[in-house]
Formats: sequence, C-alpha cells, structure tokens
Amino acid sequence: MSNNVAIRIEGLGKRYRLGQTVDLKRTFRETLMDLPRFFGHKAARALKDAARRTLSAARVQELQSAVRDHRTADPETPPGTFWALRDINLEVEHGEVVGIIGRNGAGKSTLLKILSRVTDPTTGHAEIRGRVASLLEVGTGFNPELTGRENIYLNGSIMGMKKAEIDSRFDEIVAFAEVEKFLDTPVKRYSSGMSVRLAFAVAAHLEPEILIVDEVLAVGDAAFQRKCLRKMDSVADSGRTILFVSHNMGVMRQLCPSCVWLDQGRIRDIGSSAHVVDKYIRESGSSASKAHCSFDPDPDKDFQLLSIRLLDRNGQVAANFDCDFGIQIEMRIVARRRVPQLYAYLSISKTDGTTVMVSDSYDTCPNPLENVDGGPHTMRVSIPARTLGPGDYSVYLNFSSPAGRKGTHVDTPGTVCAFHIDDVSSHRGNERYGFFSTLLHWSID
Amino acid sequence: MADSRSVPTIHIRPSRGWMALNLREMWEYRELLYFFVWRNMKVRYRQTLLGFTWAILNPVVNTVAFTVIFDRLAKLSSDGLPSPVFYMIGLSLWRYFAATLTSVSSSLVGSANLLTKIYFPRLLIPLNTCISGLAEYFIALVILVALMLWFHVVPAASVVLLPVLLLLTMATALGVGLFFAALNVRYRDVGQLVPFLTSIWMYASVIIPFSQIPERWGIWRYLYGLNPMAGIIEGCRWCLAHHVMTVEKLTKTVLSGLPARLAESQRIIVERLMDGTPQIILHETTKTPPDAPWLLIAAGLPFTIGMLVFGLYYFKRVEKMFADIV
Repeated sequence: MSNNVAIRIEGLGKRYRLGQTVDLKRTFRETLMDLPRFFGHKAARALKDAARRTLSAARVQELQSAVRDHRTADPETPPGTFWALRDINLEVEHGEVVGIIGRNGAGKSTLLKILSRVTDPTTGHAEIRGRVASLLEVGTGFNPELTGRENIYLNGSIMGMKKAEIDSRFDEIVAFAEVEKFLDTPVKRYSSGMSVRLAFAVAAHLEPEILIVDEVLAVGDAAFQRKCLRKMDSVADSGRTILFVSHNMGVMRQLCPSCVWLDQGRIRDIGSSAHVVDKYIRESGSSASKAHCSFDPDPDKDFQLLSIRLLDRNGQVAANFDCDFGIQIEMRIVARRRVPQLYAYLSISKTDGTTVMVSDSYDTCPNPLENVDGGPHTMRVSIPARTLGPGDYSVYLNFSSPAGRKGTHVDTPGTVCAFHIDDVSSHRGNERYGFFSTLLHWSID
Repeated sequence: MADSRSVPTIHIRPSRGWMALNLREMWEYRELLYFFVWRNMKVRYRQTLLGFTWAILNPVVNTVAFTVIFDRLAKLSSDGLPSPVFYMIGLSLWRYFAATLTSVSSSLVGSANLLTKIYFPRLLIPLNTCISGLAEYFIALVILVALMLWFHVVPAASVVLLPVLLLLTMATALGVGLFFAALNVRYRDVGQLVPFLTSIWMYASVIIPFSQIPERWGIWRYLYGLNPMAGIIEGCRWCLAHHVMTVEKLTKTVLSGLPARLAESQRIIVERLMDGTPQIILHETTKTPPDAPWLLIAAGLPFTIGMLVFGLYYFKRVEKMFADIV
C-alpha cells in the first residue's frame, strides 16, 4: 500500500439481519415449500393443486409469495436481511478531509462504525494506517456519578488518550468547555449544554492521525457550535486525516474539500464538495417539503383553488430551491361566480411559525383577481431571487373579499406547501441566518 | 516520508471464527483497564451514607447469620474450628466469587453504550469487574484476620497458599462469567439465571466441610471436588486456620485455663471427673486436623481450566457481534 494512503477501503459491505432473531419456523416452511422444485414441474403442480384443494385461498397466496420471495431474491440477500453498506471502495490520503453525506439510513454511521472497529464488515476489507480516534457520540462512557474532573480522565482514556496526555491537556480541555467552576460537581448535576461542552472538549483534544466524526457537531448552542467548528478547522489544518459525517451542508462545504455521497448503502458520487453537495441538495428533499397540493372541486364555493405547485427556474416541480433563483408559485383556480373585490393573500413563514413574508394580489396593480370569472385559470406569483434566506418555509394561502356572498372568506386553503431554500453559491452559504439572502455590496477605498 | 514500519496498520476484515487472544493489544490498553477499575471503585459508594462500611457490614452480618443458623440451630460440624471463623473464611471468598460471577455475566449488557460506540479489547469489560471485586474481598479478609485473632487462631506459613487459591477463584469466576456474559448478550435469560445458580452453588461449597462426607464412600468422596469452589474453600480453611491447630497446641492452651466464652465457641466440653474436678476436653481431640486438601482442589481443576479456556474461546468467537446484537 502506498505510504500516502491513510484509509483504503475495498469492496466493503455490511449485512444486517432484520427483526429480532431468525424466525426458524418461517425459514423452515419456506424451505419445505421450495422442495417440489427438485422433483420437477409435474410434482410441483400436483403439490400445488393438492394445496389449493386443502388450504384456503389466503393461505395458498401466502405460501406462494413466500416461495416467490425466496426464489427470486438476490441469493446474497436471504429473506430477513438487508445490506446496510455494499461495494464501498474508497481511498483517503493522509491529511485529506473527506465529508460523507447522505440521507438517514444511507449507511454513513455503519461505515464509520466499521472503520472504528465497533462492528465487523460482512464482505470486503479496509486498511487504516495511523492512530484512529472515533467520535461517534459525545460523552461515551460518561458516568453521571463522577465529577467533571474524573469524567475527563475516564472519557479521555476511553477515547484513547494516555493518562500523561490527559494530564498535559487538562487545563486546555477545561478552558474549552468553560466549566472551571464545576469541575468537582458530579456530572449528573450539569445542564445538558455543560455536559455536551465537556464531552466535546475532551474529544476535541484528541490528537490522533485519523479522526472519524459522526454528526456530533449538531449539539450545543450556536456559540458553541462555532467554537467546535473552529476547533475542527484547526485540526484539519494541522494535517490530520478526517472523515466527517454531517447533515449540515454549510459546514460540509466549509470543512471538507471533497465529499462522498452515500445512498442506500452504495457510493452515489465522490468529488469536490461544492459539486456533490449541490447535486445532493437538488435531489433530496426534507420529509416535510411538499411541492404541490390539490383540492377536490367544491361546487358550493364561488371561487376555489384547485391546485398549487411550486416550480423552480426550469419549470419543474421542486421542493428545494436555490437562493440564487426565484420560486414560482403556480395555482389553478376556478371562479364559478363573480366575487367582487376578491384578492389572494399569501404568507410565507418559517417552520417555527414566524411570518417572514406577506403579500396579497393587490401588490400588483390592477389586482388580477378583481374581476375574474369562469376558469379554470392559472395564476402565478413568484418570489424573487436572493430574497428569502436559507431555511425551511411553509406557504399559507387565503382568498378573501369584503363583499363576498358568504362572508369575507371565500376559500381558505390554508398551509398548502412547504419548501426548503439553500444558499449554495455565496461564501456564507447556509450560515446566512436571518430572513434575507440579499447580497450586500461592500466597498473599501 | 514516514517510515511505514513505525505507523501501526489496522486491518479490518470479516471475522472468521476463532480470534486470537491478542494479549499484546490488551497490554496496550492496560491504562484503560486501570481507569475502569478506578471508576468502579469511585462510583460504588458514592452518595451512600455508610460508604464503604457496607463492605465491612456485609460479611459480618452474613457470618453471624450463618453461625446462628448452621451452627447453633442445625448443629452442623465446623471441622474443629470456631464456627464464625469456619463460615467467615468460606463466605468472604464466596462473596467475591458470587459477586464477580454475577457482575461479569451482566457486564457486557451493562456496557452496551460503550460497545456500540468505541473500540477497545472487549475482554477489558469482564476483567475490570473481576478486579474491582477484590477490594471488598480484601476488606473482608481484614475482618477475618481480626476475627481469627479473637479466637486465637493464628495462621502459619501455609497462608502463602491463599493467593493461589484466590487466583483459582478468579479463573473459575472469569471462565464461567465470560461464557455467561457472551451468552447473555443474545439470550437475556442468562442474566436471570445467574443469581439463582450462585445461591444454589453456595450451599454446595461453603457449608459442608469435607470431613463430613462419609468415609465409607472412599475415592468417590472426591467427587465433591468437582465443584472447584468446594475444593478452594476447603483449601482456604486449611491454609488459614487448620494447619496450625494441632491438637497439642490447643490442649496446651486449654489446660492453661480459658475464659468461658472461648470455651464455648470452640465447643470444648467441660466434663466433670468422678471426683468433681472439671477437666476441659477439646471436642474433637480424637481427630487430627485434616490434611491439605490437594486432591480435592485437583478434582476441581479440570472444571476451572476447561471453563476458562472455553469461556475465552466462546467470548472471542462472539466478540465481533456484540455491537450488533446487544
């Protein structure tokens, strides 16, 4: 192996068993049902007829599907198992900082666990050169009865530090965690923030050649997260090899020059973070995103929203958007009766309920809904580029009229869509907190 | 360019059956073992009122209970020894054995959070439990020594045998415990079984002195030694107390006059001669103190060694799966 490679992974795979333990009865039954195949088609057919005659239809179905599953399944994937990781080939050189991204369940943590030797691979093999420290969880081994001081030693030792090392870095660790006053109090009395800070402080002062970090930066308050990030940065700068898993794309772009995208246990893409993260964001969506919504026609309503869709710059339905391009909202509406002074009300809020942007159709002069009748019509409104900041939003829609036949509310679809915006092109990226993503102009002379 | 030999290379492969014991790696992780033991000690009596005096209270209360029940009420033989001494020797070692066996068996399941997050040689977990129990044993030993001095039983040089017996106890507890610990990860009933097992096992080891087994059974008597703890505890009693209690020494003490309570505790029968002068006779003057129970201990060795080897083998075999099924 060339001296410059820190981690080499070849054909790595991990297969897990589903459920509690092997269901012996079921596998036995399946084997039995498959037996007629050995005796040829005639016997199989005869047995099937006999079964059909004696068993109920449902039972026959069940047995047939069990045999089908067993036969057609991938021979390497017996029923009741699944591959969490498959065919992973990767080479990481010394000093490289590699990010690993993917949806939940893609196999990221499994890969890290295998590399940390916590669990064994099913196939393939990996070679690691250098001392490894794994941060799969902060505070591993913390004992609530022990004091902060004692836990620093215990946790440090568990993570692989020698006592001498802990002694020499003790003061730095305490300063990083900001728990000087509480060193001799049992950890069970610490606030959650304090214990997280302490745990991360110990972990941050490990000095291995290879560091494996799993989504642990998502804890603590914003100030602490910034501190952790800076520390990770300095660790990266010091020439160590880092494997880093995170869901925070902004952090990923900032820390890792290159990135691996895992999808359903396989490597989907490897390359520069900018490129891979971009592709990943475009493809996946958060589970709360909903790019379209439709309603059953209700003849009772004088005016009705039939459907609404969110479109990206290419006219495609999307739930994830880029700050640099606008969001098109396209609505199909029908006006069964003329409603005077009708207007549409649109409100965009953050997921915590804060209203971010409000607009109604009077913003455009004349109000297009004022004299609408018949239909269906397609109504469009767009949110301009570089307006909303990165984050998750929901769309609320309401149609009202002060002179409506049945009162002010004509149609109230309510919260209809949810979408997500990422800032991929600016330097600040998704760390642009606040409501706006407007790029300000800075100058100096 | 870094010298390729100075940098450790770790190979990660699917495990195939038997894994080497890898003592060198264990030695590298010796500091972690120290920290585990240190943690166990610290945590044990934190936030308790009596603190480590529990370690004193437990053996004392147990011994008193046993003496009252088995000596006073059931009138079982205590082999020539003062019965508190007899039972305490057995109980102190037994408490260590039972506690170690129980905690080793559940140690892996109890450390599930460590097993799934960090790598270190898994053997460290049962090992640290084994060692942590020694502290309580040593405290019990101190009390035992005090008790023996009270009863004027002074051990001779044979006491050097005690560490060997202790080691055998550790080996037995570790062997059985390792097997149970690995098994318990998968089948949790094992954890329920162990306390039940140890209490039955105790009755077969601590109560009955070997001398009580009928002589007429001949060589079959040594079947009693198949239970290694029986032999070990018999050996403990021998090396700590029996070896010195030659009849002569005691009769000398007896004849020089004894306080009444001592007389009673040693079951010395006061006989009155025809002419009315009291003569104190040692209860078992006719018996010589028992020989060293080498054969008995040897009878238990196959079990100890076999179990240790098997326990280690099974543990290492299943080790890689712990993180997946715990």
